[in-house]
Amino acid sequence: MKRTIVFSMAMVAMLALTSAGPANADSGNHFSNRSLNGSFGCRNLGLLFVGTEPGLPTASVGRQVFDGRGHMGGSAVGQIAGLVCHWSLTNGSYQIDPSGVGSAAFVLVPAATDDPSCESTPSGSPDSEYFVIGQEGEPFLFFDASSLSGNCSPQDD
Amino acid sequence: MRGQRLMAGVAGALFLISAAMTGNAKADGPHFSKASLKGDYMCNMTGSADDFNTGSFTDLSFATVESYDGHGNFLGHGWQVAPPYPICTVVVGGAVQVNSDGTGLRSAGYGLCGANVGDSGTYPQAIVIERNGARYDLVGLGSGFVLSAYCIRRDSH
Repeated sequence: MKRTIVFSMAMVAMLALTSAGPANADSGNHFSNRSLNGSFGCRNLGLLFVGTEPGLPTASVGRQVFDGRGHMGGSAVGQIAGLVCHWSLTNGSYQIDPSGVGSAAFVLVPAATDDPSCESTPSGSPDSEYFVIGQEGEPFLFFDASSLSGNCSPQDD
Repeated sequence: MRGQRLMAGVAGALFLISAAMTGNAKADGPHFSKASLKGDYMCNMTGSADDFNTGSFTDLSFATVESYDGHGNFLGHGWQVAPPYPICTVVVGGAVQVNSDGTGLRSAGYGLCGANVGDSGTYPQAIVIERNGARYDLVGLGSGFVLSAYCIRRDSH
């Protein structure tokens, strides 16, 4: 009977740990894909560079959802030098190293109602972002392949 | 003994279900409404006023306090600076629509000052709410300005 109780308590403890809150840093600040789990609101601002043309003033906000297992997705709306675009972030994946430095890759798919200039192809184009994670549940910084930068905060507290 | 094993099994199953439900809730994220925005928020908006025809860009920054009534209405005031012009006072007010995932749209009427007084008017903005309403980010969607902002509720930090 004692073994049964001990086994049950161990199982409960393991389950409690695996269902813990968002942006979990492992002990000793060892981060992993589990460190991002949940939905985040994000903003960025900067110059978008296309080829060798001068940078275009760009700003956006969006929502990004991470599953704690290396998959992500979301949506964003922004303005690129007067052009308003709405995107879906699909087929997203991410990876985080033990120090909390990470990156994500996804496909940006423009809304069907957007101006065709919002994306190079109607089916979307590959994009990426690079980030550093702060404390548990804290905002993280990200940069896409251009000179845009910003931050994200968890939607729950 | 048999009863104890059964209880242990039931407890384990309950925790598994609980963990699964927690995971689903996290994937969906918290739910928001107009009531999520209530109280006084400190906002910092930065970006540029742009003439895309001439390629002339001017840095533009705002620091405002915006008060929400919890029913989708807001009023605010603060400072605006657009170098090399002097800092002057700005007023803002309008209405916000909030989707359950925390994204939304804001219609913001600005009473601008200094060199931008002629640009006073109503502008559409996209928002995303974070930290259960303690913070939101926004991006301007109106032509002529590429701006993004973050706003933090006064009582949250």
